[in-house]
Amino acid sequence: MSGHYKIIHFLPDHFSGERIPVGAVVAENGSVNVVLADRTPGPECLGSDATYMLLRDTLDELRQLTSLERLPMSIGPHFEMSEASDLPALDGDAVSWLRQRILPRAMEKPSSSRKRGPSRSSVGLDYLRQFNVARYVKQFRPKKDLHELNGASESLPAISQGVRGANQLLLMEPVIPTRRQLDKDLKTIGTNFFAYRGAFQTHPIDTDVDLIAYVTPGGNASIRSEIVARLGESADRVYDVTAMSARKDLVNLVATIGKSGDDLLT
Amino acid sequence: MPSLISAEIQQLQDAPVLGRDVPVANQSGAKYALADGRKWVWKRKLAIGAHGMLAEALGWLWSRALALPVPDVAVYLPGEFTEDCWLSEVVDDVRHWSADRVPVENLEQLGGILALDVILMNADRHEGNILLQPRIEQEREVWRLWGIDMGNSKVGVVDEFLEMENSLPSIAKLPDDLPFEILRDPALEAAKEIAAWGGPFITKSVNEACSVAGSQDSTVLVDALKKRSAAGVALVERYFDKLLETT
Repeated sequence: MSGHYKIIHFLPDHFSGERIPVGAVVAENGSVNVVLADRTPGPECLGSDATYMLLRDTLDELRQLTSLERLPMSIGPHFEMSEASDLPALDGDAVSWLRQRILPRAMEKPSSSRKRGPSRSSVGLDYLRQFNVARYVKQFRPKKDLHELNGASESLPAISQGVRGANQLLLMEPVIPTRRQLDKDLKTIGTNFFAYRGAFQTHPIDTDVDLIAYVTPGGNASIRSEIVARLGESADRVYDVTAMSARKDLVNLVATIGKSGDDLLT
Repeated sequence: MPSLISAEIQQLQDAPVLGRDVPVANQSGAKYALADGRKWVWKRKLAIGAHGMLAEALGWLWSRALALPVPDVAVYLPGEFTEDCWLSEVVDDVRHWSADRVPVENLEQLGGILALDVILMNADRHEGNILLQPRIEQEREVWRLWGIDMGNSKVGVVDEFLEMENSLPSIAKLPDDLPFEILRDPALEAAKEIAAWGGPFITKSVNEACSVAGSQDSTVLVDALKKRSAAGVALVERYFDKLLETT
């Protein structure tokens, strides 16, 4: 026996008694790991899109757990951890054992109707909407939106958000710390920003372009710091919006540049 | 001007049927309960005290007068301290506050909730007392914010509240990821609305809250709340100045 684990249950309704195992936290040899079930119920099974949304979004958050003690308060009352159980003697690793032997497993033929969470772009736009600056933001398609480069823009990738000002252009990528594909997101953003840097070195333009990443709330501090560090070279600026000063700077920047673009049109 | 019709808090005729404990720490023995065919979070008067009932009742009446998002409430008052209870309707599918849940369709209403916290001296607005409920609106996923639990507001402890004059509630428990800068204006608007209510509504709401809680302090509380409401805008301004300095 080398460790122990707790099962995380989802309680869709406090009155039906239903408890659905959706993951586990395992402490073994001094480290803590989270394993999520390969199979969790969909909206049809839960009987509500809203209930499914709660489950799906919280699963992303559970992935960040670093302690077996208790669930973070923000998780709310629909999730509970079981009492700790001892791990049995295992040939393989505990995470695989929990996934394959304890938690609900995936169907052999996955359902084709699996719903995906919101895109990075839409989460970022929703965030900016709360600060009343989303109206300045548009999805940025270089072929259509970067006329300054003429034909040279065709090979450039799309950017999630662009803000066009009088003589300034903000190219912005939101980063969602709790996304399952965070590592891939960071690689994509870094690569895309470097592509723009290269294009502007080869074909300088008069417009002042800022490559901006902003880290939306969520995740733990170490992940947020890592995001800022990893994008530090490719982006001109990286805002961690959990700090009010950074949030204000970002919102003011978008508003100022966006408004200058509006003024140009009127 | 909010309603002056009496008895807005529903009084249940039959005892609630109690279920499991509410699985959140520090809930004063709160349990899930069924009553009147609806689902509730139940708190016994014995656990929260008459002051807790008074604060809950007044907080709810004032929240409703400001059209703030708070769940329906009810009381069951057979007249015994051990049986009397406060019930707050369960909000389905909720989680607690976290700034990464966006968009919150009614985020600005949190400003009104904070204004009420200031005036009623509620320092207990931690993340667990700000609920987020997922909703699908026109095929778009959004979150709706709810405020719960005014039971620890100092307004319920009348003797202490009378001495507070222009004090502000502590901000220590507030989640530090709240976007205070965009909540300030809605909070000030709510404070102005409260200042404009005038005596009749304050008297009526205090009388109802005291009746529910079994408190005899309505006259002094009315006077104190009239003064506190009149000073509300200045108090909320100071509160937000402090918040924006600190965060």
